[in-house]
Order: sequence, then structure tokens, then C-alpha cells
Amino acid sequence: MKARITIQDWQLLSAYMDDQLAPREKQALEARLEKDPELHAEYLSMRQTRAMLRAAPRHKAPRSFALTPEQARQYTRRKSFLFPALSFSSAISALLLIITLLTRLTPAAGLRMMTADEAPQAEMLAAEPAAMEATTPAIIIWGESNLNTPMMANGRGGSGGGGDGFSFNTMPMPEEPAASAPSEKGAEESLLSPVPTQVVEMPAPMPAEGAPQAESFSVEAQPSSPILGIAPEQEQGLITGMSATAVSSEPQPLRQSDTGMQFTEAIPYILAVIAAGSALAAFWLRRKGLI
Amino acid sequence: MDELALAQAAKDGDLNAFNRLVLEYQDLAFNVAFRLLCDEDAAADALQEAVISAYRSLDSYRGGSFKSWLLRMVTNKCYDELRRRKRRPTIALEPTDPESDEEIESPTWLADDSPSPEDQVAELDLEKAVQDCINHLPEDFRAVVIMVDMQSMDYQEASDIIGKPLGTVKSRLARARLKLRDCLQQFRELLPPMFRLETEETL
Repeated sequence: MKARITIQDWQLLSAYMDDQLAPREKQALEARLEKDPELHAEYLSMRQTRAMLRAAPRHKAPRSFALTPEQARQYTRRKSFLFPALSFSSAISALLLIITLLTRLTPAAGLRMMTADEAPQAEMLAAEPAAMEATTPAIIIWGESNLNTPMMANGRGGSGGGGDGFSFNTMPMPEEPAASAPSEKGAEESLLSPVPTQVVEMPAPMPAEGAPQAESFSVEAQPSSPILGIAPEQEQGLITGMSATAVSSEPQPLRQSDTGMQFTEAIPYILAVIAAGSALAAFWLRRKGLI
Repeated sequence: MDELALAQAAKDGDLNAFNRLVLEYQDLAFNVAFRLLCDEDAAADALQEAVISAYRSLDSYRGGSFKSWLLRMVTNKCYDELRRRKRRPTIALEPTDPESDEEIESPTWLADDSPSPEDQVAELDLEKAVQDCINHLPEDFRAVVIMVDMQSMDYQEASDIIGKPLGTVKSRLARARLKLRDCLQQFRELLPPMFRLETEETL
């Protein structure tokens, strides 16, 4: 039978008990209450429930919760000291992150990045003709005894050596490593002859299987230099070292641009770390009650 | 007490005015917190935190009822505590039998053997029944029924405190009363005689 009383009836009875009904609703409900004993019983049970709740004992506050002047100063000072510093840090980091992402994703930014990427290649392309021209110099082979002075000078010079006689611009591109093998062979053969021999052209590129990269650099470098002879194998090692040093010291501009790109790419991660750090700091200070 | 004048003075930095308002409403606020949390210590902590928050947020007080503004902070702190309890439920300490080292399910050692007056027993029974039924209410319903039925506030005050429209207050109150009615019927035999009689004269 009680299922006949709907939740809407209960809401009406509840509002009626608190005198929250409009006059017309109130009159309509009172008419129903007179005719419907079940609805009237529900209303009585609701009033009884409220009477029980109001009869429950009330508790007094166990102490005074007023703030002392020291407490008031403490909470005021801490708020003014830390709150402004941390309230916007996460927001600022998030904003910078969005700006960075937008900058990276826009076409103009992509073009700039592509240009920056291609810049080193452009430098290498510009250097290529000179290198190509330098791939076919004449090599004058002198006897072993005649090449000590310049070679020793270059060898002792280390990375700084070869300023006059050895230039990176004259070094062939790595795309032609095959040229090293025949030239090396030619050099070895020429060592047998004490008289100067002129090698007019570098042989055609051949596959240099298993030839080390450094070796190819050292031998390729020889044609471009005013080399007066070929050193024995021990001294070729010196030349190799110098060449490798020269090669390794030249692409510094490339590294600088790479570093710039790496920094640009790292910006979102840095901002994310800043945002997370500031959020953690704010959370910790909040838990400590300092902000 | 001119509540608006005191609230404005408190906002302007008058600590005495703020404390007068706190002392005026602290019993009411403590009762609301106690009914919501069913724990005196937790209620005191929530009230203390709410008072501190209120003092630090005086800049955000935009006039109106300071009582509602303060109680809103108290109920928010209480709901924070209820959420914290859900995340980290605590286990009540039970006394253990020193011989068997097992928990004593019925800690008779806590019982007070001294006789109590009958009305005190009846009040304790009612208190226990009411609190038990409130604890079984959905959390969203508790604050409304505590404020309107136990603290005699009107709908508008309850609406301001919980930050919900009047319609929500009416709906939650009606549903909470229905659940409480069904729950309290289980305790009817334990209640004082006046609550056993379902006649209009007793209401």
C-alpha cells in the first residue's frame, strides 16, 4: 500500500511540513490529506522523524576557536610571503609550454627549423666544388729522406698544424672514400722508387672494402697538399692523426647549430619539469599549511 | 550583534570582530561538523581549519550572511575529511585477551557499571539511533538534513551553505527524511515513549 506514495508525494509532504509550498499547492495537498488516510499517515511519520532529529542532544564546542593575535599574524604573513610566488608559477609554465608547442607546430616555424637543419648541408655543398677540384692534384713523390721537415712540422703541430699545407676545404667529401685505396697503393709502390714520380690523376673510384675511415682521410688529404713526398708507414700514422684531428676540429659550426636545436627541442621538457616542480612545491606547502 | 558590521570590520582587519563572529557561531558549526563526522576530535579539527581558512579568505567574503559563509567552509572541511577517510580507512583498535592474544569482540571492560538516570539512557539511545541513521545516509544528503531538521535552518541558508539550488535542497531533504524515517523505525522500541506514539498530539 505504501508503494502508492511516490517520491513526488514525499517531496510535497516535506515542503508542506516546512511551509514551503505555494498557496494553491498547499490547498490541494491539504484536500488530499483529508481524503487519503495513508498519505496522512506518511505525513505523520515524517513529522515524527523530524521531531526525533530535533530532540537529539546538541553539543557545545569543546573550546574557543577564536584566533589569537599570534595566530592571526602567522597566517597572514605566511600567505603574503609565499602565495604570490607560487600561485601563478604553474600557469606561467603551462602558457610557455603552449607557446613553445605552437611555435614548433606552425608552418613558419617548421620552415625555420628546416632551414636550420639544412644549413650545415649547405655549407658542405658549398665546400664540395672546392673539394672536387682538390681531389686531383699532382702528387710528387720524393724519397723518404726528403720529407722529414714538413711532415714533422705538421705532425708536431697536432690539431693546429697544416695551416698552410693542409686545408679542410681541399679535403675530398666522404662520399668518395674509394679514392683512398688506389692512391694508397700508388703511394706504397712509389716508395720503392727514390726518384720523384708524378701521379697525374687519381684513379677512378673503386670499392674500398674494409678500408678504415681515418686511413682514407689521411690519404685523400695528401693530394691537396704541397706534399713533397710520401712518408713511410710509421710517419703516415702521424699524418693520419693530424688529418683526423683536422677533420674533427672543422665541423664545430655544425655542432653549435646541433646544440641550438637540441636546446630548442628540450624546451618543452624543461617547461614540463618546471610546471611539475612548482605544482609539487605548491602541493607540499599547501599540506604544510604554509600557503 | 550586527553581523554585517562585524563582518565588514573583520574584512578590514579587525581581529576582535572576526573572533566575535566565530564565538557566536562556533557551537552551531561544531554541531554540524560533529553530525557529519561522528567524531568530536575530527569535528574540532575541521572547525579549527575552517576558522583559519575563513580568516585567510576574508578578502573573498563578498557580504551576505557570515554564518552561511563560515558554515560553508566547515562543511567543505568535513567533506574533505570524509573523502580522506575513504582513501585511507582506519581500523578501530580492539582490546585483546592477554591469554589467548585474540581480540575481544565485546569489550565489557569499557562498560560503565554505575547506574544512569532513565532520561539520560533515553537520550543516549536517541543520540545513538539518530547518529547511526545519519551515518547510513548518502553523504550528499547528510548536510541538508542536519542543517534543516537538526539545526532549524531554512532552505535558503542550506542552499547558500552547500552551494546548490533550492530545488536540490528540497529534493535531497525529502529523500533524506524518507530514508531516516525507515531507518529510525528499527530503533522505535528503544526510543523514549513520546517517539513511539504515532499520534499527531505527540508531534
